Order: sequence, then C-alpha cells, then structure tokens
Amino acid sequence: MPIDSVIYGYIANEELYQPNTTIIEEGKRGDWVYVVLEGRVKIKKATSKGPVTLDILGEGAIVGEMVLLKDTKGQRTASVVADGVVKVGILDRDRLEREYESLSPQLKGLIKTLVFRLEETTKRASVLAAE
Amino acid sequence: MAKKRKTPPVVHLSFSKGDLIIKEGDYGISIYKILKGHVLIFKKTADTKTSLAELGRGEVFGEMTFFNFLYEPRSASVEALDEVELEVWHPARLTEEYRAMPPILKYMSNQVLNRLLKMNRVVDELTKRQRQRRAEAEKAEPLGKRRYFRKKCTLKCRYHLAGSESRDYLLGVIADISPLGVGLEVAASNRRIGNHNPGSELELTFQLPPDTKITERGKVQLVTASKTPNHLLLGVEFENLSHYSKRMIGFFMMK
Repeated sequence: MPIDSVIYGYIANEELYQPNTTIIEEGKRGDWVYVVLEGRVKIKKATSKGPVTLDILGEGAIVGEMVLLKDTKGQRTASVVADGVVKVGILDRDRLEREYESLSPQLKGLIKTLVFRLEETTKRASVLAAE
Repeated sequence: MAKKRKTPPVVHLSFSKGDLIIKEGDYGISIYKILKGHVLIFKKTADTKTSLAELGRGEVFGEMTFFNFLYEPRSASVEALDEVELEVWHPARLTEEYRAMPPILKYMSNQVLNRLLKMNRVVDELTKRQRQRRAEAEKAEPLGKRRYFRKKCTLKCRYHLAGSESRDYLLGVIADISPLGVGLEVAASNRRIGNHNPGSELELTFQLPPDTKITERGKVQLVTASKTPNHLLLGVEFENLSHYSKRMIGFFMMK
C-alpha cells in the first residue's frame, strides 16, 4: 500500500525536527500520532543501563499510534528520536479516533491485543538488550 | 441457513497441562480467547525454547495470523500451563470487517503486527545470546566458586584499618554476609581516616543475633558506590576465618 494514498487527507500539520531531538518522550502523556515523511527515527526505551535503541524506522512509519489503538489516555511506552533531520506529519487525531471508534468491539479487541503484546515484548527486548 | 453456515458457532475447547494448542509453522485461522487457565507462548528450535509471553483469563491469542490475512503460518507455539478452557472464534465475519476498514487503520495495525513479529525475533535472538553467554561464563568459572549465596542483612559493625594510626573504631553496616566475606557499607567520609582501597586490610567486629560477637580480619576486594548517597560499598573477603566464626555465620545464614 503506498503511504501517500493511505495518509492522504489525514495530515493536519507538518513539523521539522533537528538531529537527535526528541519527538515523543517515554513516560510522558500525549496522544498525537505522527507519520515519518522524510528521514529516519530511532525508537528508544529507557533501561537500568541507559537508553537502548530498539528499532530504526524510515519514511512511511507511523509512530505514537499505540496510545490511540489502546483506546486509553496512557503514557508513551517508548521514545522517538530524530536520526538526522526528520520531517513528520501530524495526523488528524479526531478523525482517526472517530474511525477507530466505529469498529466492532471484537475487531478493536484484536487490535488492542496486538498492541498490548507489542508493548510487553518491547519491554522484554529492552531488558534483555540492557544485560 | 446460508447465513448460518457463513458464521460458524463459537466452539469451546479444553486442554490439560502440557498440551500443545498451536504449533509454530502450522497453518491455522482460529482465534482463541482464554476462559480459564494459563498458556505459554514460545518459540522453539532444535535445542532451545524461548518463552515470549504468558497469558491468562480474558486474554486473546492466535490473532496474528488474522492480521496477516491468513497468508502466513503461525509464528510461535502455544501450550497449556494448567487446565485451560478456550473459546475458539472463526474469523470469517471479522475478516470482512477488517478488509472494509479505513486503509489508514489497516496500515497501522499491520505495522503494529510487523513490529511485534520483529520484537519477538529480537527477544528470541537476545535470549539465545544470553544463554550462550551464561554457558561460556559457566565454563570459564564453575558456578560454586563464582556465585556463592550471600545472606542479605543489616548488621552494625565496628572496624579498624590495619595501617591506620588512629586507635578509634570506624562504623559501618554489613549489608550481606557469607563465610567468604561481607558487603560492608560505610560513609564515604571514612576515607579521611585511612585508605579504603582494594587491598586495604581491616579488622571487623560485629554481633550476630542474638548475642554472638565476632571479630575477624578481612581484605577489601572491591569498592563501589553504595545505593545510599555518600556511602561506599566494600567487598571484604575474610582472611583465616576461625572455625567458630565460620560455624556461627553458617547458622546465621540458615535462619
């Protein structure tokens, strides 16, 4: 699926981040959902031995979606940091929320399961990576 | 009638401890919800088994294949950890809804799926490496020598530095103890009185409850910052521990 057609009509704003600046901070509350338009971002998680980079994502990657999909006003589970200069699009949160709300409880339940499992697995991976 | 055939009824299944519910590599379409008991999700190769998650009542598994549009085989195995009762869903109706949902939500959940698959592989890989590291460490230095048991405690202790001219005792707290030595927490300012470096010798006097007084000599092996601010943690190894002290510490450790 080409990313342009998927996000068309959803981008509410665009932001530019300088290298190594933080786009999303772990532990903070926030519910913006971003899509990487240009450049790359690092997904980092804090561990007992300092931050560990768990993944590097490029253009087309959507980040910050976990809070939306979990359907709770929760904390950010990982940090997203600009790896070089990065242009992100901020997605229309209201529209996304409306559309997500319209799904059946079963389907939403399955998506939430997926998100919770990703959260758990990421935690485990960061603990292992810090050893 | 036709409509009924399209949406098969929900089936209940039960499993006993150790039963394999899903086998990695198999093709299957069902989604399972746990009504009772616990299951383990794991990945297995010829000689290793990595657990990925443990799930209990109300949780769902087998959903990853659904998000893969049923094209991919099961990415991990699932086994029953005790008496397990499951509700089995046939995803036919959900598949239709999934196909019809806004592309951006499909794109997002697909991304979450791929990240999860990736993180599962990362956990699997890191667990294997950890196992390998432990095996190598074991070979290099047998277990008994390296990781002896120490009893955690909080025992007030007076000590005297061997080379120090001062006749006054310094104070510290024994944070852990074994017949091999103690972890001694002291104020960082004690350094002003004399050397607290690896190799420094000291004489320790402390009391094991209820009223066993022990005085022994030891040598500092390791100096690290303590979790208590402005304190040092000294790793002290006993030198020529008396038979009596060894027995008393042994008794204390068993309590």
